[in-house]
Amino acid sequence: MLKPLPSPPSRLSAGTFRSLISISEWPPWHDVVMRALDRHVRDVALDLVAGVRQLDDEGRILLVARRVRIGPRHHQRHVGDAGGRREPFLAVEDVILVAVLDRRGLHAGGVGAGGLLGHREADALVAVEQRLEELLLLVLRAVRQRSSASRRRRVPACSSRARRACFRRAPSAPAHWPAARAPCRHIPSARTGTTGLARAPSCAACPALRRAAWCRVPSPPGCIRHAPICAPSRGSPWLRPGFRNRSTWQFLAGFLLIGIAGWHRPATRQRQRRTKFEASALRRRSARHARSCRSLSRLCFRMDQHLGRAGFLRGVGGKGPPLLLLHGFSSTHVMWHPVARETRRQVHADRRRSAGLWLVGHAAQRQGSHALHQARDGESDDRGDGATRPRAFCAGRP
Amino acid sequence: MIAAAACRIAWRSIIPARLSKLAVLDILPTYDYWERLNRLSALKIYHWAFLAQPYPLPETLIGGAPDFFLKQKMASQTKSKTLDAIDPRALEHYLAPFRDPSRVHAMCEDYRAGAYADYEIDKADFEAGKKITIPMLALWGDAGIARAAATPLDTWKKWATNVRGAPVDSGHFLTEEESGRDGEVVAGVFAQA
Repeated sequence: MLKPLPSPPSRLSAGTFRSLISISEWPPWHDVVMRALDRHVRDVALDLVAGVRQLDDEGRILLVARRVRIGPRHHQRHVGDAGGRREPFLAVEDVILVAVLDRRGLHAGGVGAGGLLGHREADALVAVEQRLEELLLLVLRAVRQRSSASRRRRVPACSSRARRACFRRAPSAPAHWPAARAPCRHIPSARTGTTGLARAPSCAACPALRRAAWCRVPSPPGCIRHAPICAPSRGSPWLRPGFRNRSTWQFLAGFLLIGIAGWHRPATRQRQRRTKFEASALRRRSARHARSCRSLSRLCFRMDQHLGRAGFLRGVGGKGPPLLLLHGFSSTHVMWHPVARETRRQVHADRRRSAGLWLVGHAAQRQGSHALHQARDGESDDRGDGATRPRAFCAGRP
Repeated sequence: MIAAAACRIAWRSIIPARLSKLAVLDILPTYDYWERLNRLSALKIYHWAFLAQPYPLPETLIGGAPDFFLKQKMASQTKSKTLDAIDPRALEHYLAPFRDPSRVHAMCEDYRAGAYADYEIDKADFEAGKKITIPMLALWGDAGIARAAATPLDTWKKWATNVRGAPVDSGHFLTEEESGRDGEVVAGVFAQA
């Protein structure tokens, strides 16, 4: 299905795309694509966003692999003032993916470049027919039309560093800088000559500056006083914090101190580290179990509203099918304690009869289970009456 | 298997591959609660509408007297209309979340979801004819709130294909009331499950 093209042209227009299709020799789709191109050569409307499920007008889902927008012309809504009718900065180079929209009535309109192409639209057209049995959406990989070599060729048209900075910083600068233009003027951004962002005023010599919203405009070298770069202490006479303005011996002394402090690890610290590792091992184990219960996450969330803790009370152990007990409004998990106590009693009775063939619920035997944990009330002090109850109910918590 | 007093959660958690059985205690589907709301049932389950009021009305009112609200609420839902059946230590456990404003807010949000999102989802499922196919047991207290619908079992039969159920001599809190039998009936049901 995906067939890399032998030598994609540097720019793609509707005409070249036609030739691409014929070159690529996709017999089943060739006619379809050609019909789509013929019909929609001036009708491209929609943006398709990569990786995002988009709905068409009938509420069906369009799946698009990546954001690519290709239109027959620049649209002001997309490119703003910087677009105009100029040549596009970027263009599409080759076809890498063909997505099939499998239902009648789907339509895909334009294919947009998005961040990949910059904010300008390429002038190549890819459109799809609206009512084909099998609709094809061609998603194109957009690459920069002009390589770094071609950009270097542009630079001599404007010899100043400001011009080059404009090209680097302002994405809306025109792709093609006319060679007949005079070099633009230097615009100091501040009295100190600090290199920074400046609002470029209207410059007759530089239409690109007018077009760029913000661009970097350095001053002539004679005006520049070396100012500190980091923002909070800009212009401050004091030494800046951090690594700058530190001599070599200061660095060495710092490393030495860190090394001495790190070498000796006291026994307490070693014990703490060991405890930390053991705790992290426990956490990993519980996380593994949580992953196995992930489908109950919504349920856990609501339970947590009442429990107020991360993770919900559960125990794993025993035999038989797992039993999940949920409480309702105005209660807490404590409402199940009478049932748990009774269940445990019945289970024990049954085990005596049938030699322990089954258990009800998970956690019937596990000591850590909150719901089924029993304790003798008053075991640790004399406040309880000595009866066996769930631990949470014991007056003298053992 | 799920045994649930929180029906709205259990009903949404039914995953055929993972759940084998479901038991619900004195509860009806959210959709039916709202659909069947009338003069008497509204007086009984007023908290459904009260807690679903926009923030911060219920949070503020409950936060003013959390103990009073919960004790009154629970007492009104027991069969004896008192808190005798509730273990005082359990009651203390129930009171703790009500003294925490964030948890009260969470409870209110839960009921707000029940009044809007859950209702819509339930309604869509009901109209689409989706049903619970796993074996299901519905128990309700003969003085509980599910009696707001005259026949809880018939109500559940609209939602489940394989459901049986019976009333228990209790109010809303089956596991704790059960006329002092300490969860014997419910535990017996689970033991046989």
